[in-house]
Amino acid sequence: MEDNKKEQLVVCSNSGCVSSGSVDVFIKLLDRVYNDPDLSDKYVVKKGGCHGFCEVGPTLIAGNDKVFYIKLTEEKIDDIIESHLKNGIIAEKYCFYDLLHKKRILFYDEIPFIAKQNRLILKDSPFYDPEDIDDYIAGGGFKALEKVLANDNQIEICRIIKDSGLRGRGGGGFHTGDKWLKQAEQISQPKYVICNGDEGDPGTYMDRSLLEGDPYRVLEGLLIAGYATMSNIGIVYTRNDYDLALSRIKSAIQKLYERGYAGNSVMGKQFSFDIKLEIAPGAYITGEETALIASLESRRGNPRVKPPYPIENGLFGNPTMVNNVETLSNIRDIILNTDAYSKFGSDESKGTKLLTLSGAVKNSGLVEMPFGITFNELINEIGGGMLKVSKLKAIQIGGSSGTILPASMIHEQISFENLKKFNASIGAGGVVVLDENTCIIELAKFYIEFSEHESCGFCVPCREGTQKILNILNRIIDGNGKIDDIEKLKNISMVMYQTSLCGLGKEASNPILGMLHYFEDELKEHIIHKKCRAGVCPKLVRYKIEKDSCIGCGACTLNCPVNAIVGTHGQYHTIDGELCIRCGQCYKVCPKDAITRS
Amino acid sequence: MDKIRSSNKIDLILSHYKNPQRSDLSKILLAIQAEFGSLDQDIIKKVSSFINISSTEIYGYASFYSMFYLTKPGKYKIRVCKGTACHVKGSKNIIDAIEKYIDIKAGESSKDGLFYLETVSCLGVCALAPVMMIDDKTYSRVNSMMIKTIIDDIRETENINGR
Ligand SMILES: Cc1cc2nc3c(=O)[nH]c(=O)nc-3n(C[C@H](O)[C@H](O)[C@H](O)COP(=O)(O)O)c2cc1C
Ligand code: FES
Repeated sequence: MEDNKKEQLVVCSNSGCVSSGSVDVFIKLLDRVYNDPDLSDKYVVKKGGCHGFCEVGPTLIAGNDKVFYIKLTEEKIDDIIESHLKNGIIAEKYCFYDLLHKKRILFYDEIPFIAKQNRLILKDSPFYDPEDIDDYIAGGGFKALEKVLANDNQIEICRIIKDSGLRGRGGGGFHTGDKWLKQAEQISQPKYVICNGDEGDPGTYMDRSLLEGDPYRVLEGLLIAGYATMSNIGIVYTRNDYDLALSRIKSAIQKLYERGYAGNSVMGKQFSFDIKLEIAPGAYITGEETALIASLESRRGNPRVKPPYPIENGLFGNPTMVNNVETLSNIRDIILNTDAYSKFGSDESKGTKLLTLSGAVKNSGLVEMPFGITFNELINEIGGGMLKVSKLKAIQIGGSSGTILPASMIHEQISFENLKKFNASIGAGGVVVLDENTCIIELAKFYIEFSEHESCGFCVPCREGTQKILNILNRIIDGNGKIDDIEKLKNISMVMYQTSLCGLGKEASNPILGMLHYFEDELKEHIIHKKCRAGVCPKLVRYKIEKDSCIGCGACTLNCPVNAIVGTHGQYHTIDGELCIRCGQCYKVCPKDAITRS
Repeated sequence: MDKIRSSNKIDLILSHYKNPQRSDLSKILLAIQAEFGSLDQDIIKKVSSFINISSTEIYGYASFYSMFYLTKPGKYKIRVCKGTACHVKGSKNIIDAIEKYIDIKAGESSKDGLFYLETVSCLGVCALAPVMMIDDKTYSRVNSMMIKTIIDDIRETENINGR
């Protein structure tokens, strides 16, 4: 039988699943199927892009029915081959078990995490091989590029993008169509389009997933951007430690040249476009477009004042348009299906957004939803609710420039316009769900520590402000806070917001403002009562083993990273307060709840 | 002798750039680092006179980015994720445990030259937090117990191979 008529066995090959061992699983399956004529006549084994449910990887989507096998190992593959592939009986015990409804779910399309999503740009990628250009073409790839190239009126294409309402997904939410029109107007040559994949916000990985899982979609978007804006050089810029993404993009670019989708006269048309891959040298700030350009010129990644915008004065002084990876991934669908696209989303935020859901939810992973859904839908329907018995305390959205929202906002919509009302933003799309075991003060410190570390040090408000805030928060966390610290935090945050040079400094205080606004009680508790209700701040908690409850099992000793717990087996154990780093491991592992926190 | 040999290697790398531009700096430094593992003062001086940019500026450039090493990093690069997802699932404990167990601080290499520890902001595997990488192998759902085993394993392999 020809390969394309065979049933498919798709093993996820993105970073998440690779780290859980999907390469071994893939090789094993490939080996068994190809060495068995009966099987290889019926099935083809291939790698697939990311389905977003990284938590249950490595996974296999088997056959036309799309049976979804999770948490695979080489042994499980043997079982699945015997049972499913040879005897037609689904190996149910390796399928997903839905704890909420207490039932097994066998098919990919019925997994709640996936079924409840509304996928546009992630729709096909789990099923095609990110390393195979023919697979992409077979799935309708480059149709959008072809359609665009047939249109000699480039401005019209920019207008289509503008009318679609697409807004940049890199954080700013600028209207993409406006940017394209502006770039199209520039007359000097060369003109650059940069695909910004320097994702660095803690807790986000949508760009990585796209670059790894669907590199041709990103590149098709870049090509269309190049044609529509009459630019001639495209640059894909991504992190030096995104190994898999780098190698996939590199080979994809090479294939584009071989097949005539890049280089001189793209698809035989009068349009030449060169695509290069550039490696970001590793600094969060190079995600900001002017710093990005500086790094490409081998300079320190210091942002500069805008205007002039990069479109007017960019790389080596030439017109340069920067678009985010996810933004470019939307282009193909807009071109092929403009009307359908605009039906997705809310009034001022069109289309879908990739969100990375993590923290204290049952199902974490990469989610695609139209703008306008509520946190409730995201956390409880797709995320499957809170982990174990914990209760929702707060939601963090937007990474280091985002804010911390209280649980009471669970019914708010996720869109550019709605979040703005609460001084929050979607940022890159990281959503972290927090339960009562999270200390908001400590979390705010975590973000400011990140910004302090990543501040390029060029402008004073950002460099000094982040340090000052960090000092104050450290003081509070150590139990030495003073009541006027609250006022100081407010003042510094405002100064930073008003006077910093780039977005990093302007927005670094957002988590602090969120904390001050919504969690003032908790902050005051730290300052006045020297109490951390979540039991996180080390100086404000003590661990103690209750003599009567301890059975001397040794679980705590085994898990203590600093060997601070002593005791003979079967006897009451004690914690050495001097050595203890108050990590709380013992508290978590004790089977008898004999360890108390005060 | 060693110095001459390394100097020749640098010359060889530089000879690829007939008409060096400022924007070549990044590529030149990377190529040299790939050869020597890090960029020391002598290297920076040499590149400086070749490309006609002051040593201070090159130092300022290289020290800005995490991709360049100014001192030789340990053989195994441990990267612990400090992103939000990992943070709320206890990545700090992981860092503490490694720091204690190998006796280094983040950003340092161990005395025996075996380990280099750094923290990164997100490794893109948040669903499996907390995450760490040693060279290009990713470890997910790490706990402090695993640290001891992983480190011990590496030490053992190194002892067997006699380094
Ligand atoms: C501190 C800072 C960090 C940024 N990081 C990123 C990033 O990692 N990825 C990204 O695409 N844009 C990032 N941006 C936004 C870019 O400057 C730019 O607006 C964006 O890439 C434009 O693409 P878009 O219009 O498609 O969103 C960052 C901005 C700031 C101020
Ligand atoms: S936060 Fe650690 S991998 Fe994303």
